[in-house]
Amino acid sequence: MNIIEIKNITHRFANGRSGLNNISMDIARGQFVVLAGANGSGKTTLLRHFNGLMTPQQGVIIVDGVNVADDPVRARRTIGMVFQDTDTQIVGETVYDEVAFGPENLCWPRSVVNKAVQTALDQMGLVHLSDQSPHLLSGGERRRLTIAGILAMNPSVLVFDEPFANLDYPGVRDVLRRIVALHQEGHTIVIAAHDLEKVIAHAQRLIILSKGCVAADGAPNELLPSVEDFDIRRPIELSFGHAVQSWLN
Amino acid sequence: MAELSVFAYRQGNSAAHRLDPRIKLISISLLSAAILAAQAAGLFVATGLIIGATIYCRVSLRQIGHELRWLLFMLAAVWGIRALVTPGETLFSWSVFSVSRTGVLTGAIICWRWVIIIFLGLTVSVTTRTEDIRAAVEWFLRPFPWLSPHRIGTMIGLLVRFIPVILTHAREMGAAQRARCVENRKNPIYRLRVLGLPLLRRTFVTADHLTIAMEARCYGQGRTAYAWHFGREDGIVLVGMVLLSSVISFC
Repeated sequence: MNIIEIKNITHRFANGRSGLNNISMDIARGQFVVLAGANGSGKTTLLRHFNGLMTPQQGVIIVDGVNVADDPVRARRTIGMVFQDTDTQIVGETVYDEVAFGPENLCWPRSVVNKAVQTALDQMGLVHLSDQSPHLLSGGERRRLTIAGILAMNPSVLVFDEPFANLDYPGVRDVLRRIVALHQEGHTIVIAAHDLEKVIAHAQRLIILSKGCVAADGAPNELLPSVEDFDIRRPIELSFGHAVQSWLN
Repeated sequence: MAELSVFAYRQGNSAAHRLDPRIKLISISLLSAAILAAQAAGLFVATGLIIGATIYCRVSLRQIGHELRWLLFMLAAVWGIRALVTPGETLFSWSVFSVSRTGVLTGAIICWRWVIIIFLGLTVSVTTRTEDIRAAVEWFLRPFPWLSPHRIGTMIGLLVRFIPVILTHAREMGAAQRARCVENRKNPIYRLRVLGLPLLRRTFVTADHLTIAMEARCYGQGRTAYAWHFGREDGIVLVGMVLLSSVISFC
């Protein structure tokens, strides 16, 4: 069953530049999808259509059976989005406040908010930092905090826009391990990335965007040999004839 | 990783941390009003109180002095101007300038009052989460229907949250410009322009991104109500602060 259905969406920016051009795709519940493309290919623009942060000039997006345009708040509850820059999405003055922000916006009772926050902090290994200022966390901890902030709203789909940007090697492994665990728990995962090497070993599907269009869509093993045609770096193992290795090994 | 401002909230479970934030705001307002009306005797009482509170909060005086150095310079300037322009018995004079005893004393009292009020604000800010201050401000604004307490509260929360981010951006930009020898340009207006404009641009872009991120997490008019906890301790502190303010203002 598809949790996201995108039908012929086109988006043009205010300055007339084309962002997305007649894109159609379905994402099945529980799938692990990597959305790849060079800078400016339309990855972020497409992700922001998933939960109604941007609206298409043409076409329809259906999330869990409901048109996003009819009920964007429901789409935002279903699809949790983690943005690329952690500094511009953390609003709370403490780790706890930050994670509670989403549930409080949903007007949940205080006891339910507290429980949701504790569970999300526990899942992301941040319980011991709950009174800490987010500004003082390391890059990896801040990324985990943004994920916890989304998890507390109990979404079915987790969308990550360049989740490994500005992270060191341990930070990448830590965040990747938690994303993989969330997928194993049943979440649908969509990751936008231009560097496939870190995540592609875990993906079930690779969608390549180029100039606002879907240039290729299929199993990673089938598409990886030709990704450089779309200005995406091919994982180094393929050049030596090896299979792509997980960064968690 | 960034540095924590001396005014930032510090985690703790002291009586000051546990106090109802509405009582803290009422107390700081009462004490500030009393300090502004107080003379030397009242200021001595307030100074004793504030020294005790600063020690209790374990805030480094050296760090406070470092962070407030420009404000202290400004207060020193206020003192100096006051000493020069207030008429009265001349202490000493040089050329057209003369320093009066009355000016020195009134300038000292004004600066003393402001220093105490700044320290008072510090003791509240280090023991109170922004979320609590936001909720208290919203509570106080509730009787005014033409205001939007929810929005004003959110603005206060975001302002406090983003001051360290903007300062970090400013530090990064300053370092990048120093790496390209901006110090060789002596014109302060030029230096202000090359630092200020990109910083403003980046701040506005950050604000845009923040709006989108808040929207993605269903930010709107309604939110879960704040859990207030007004207890016996809060009542005692309120009565104590009313009495203390009276003592300070009438001393």
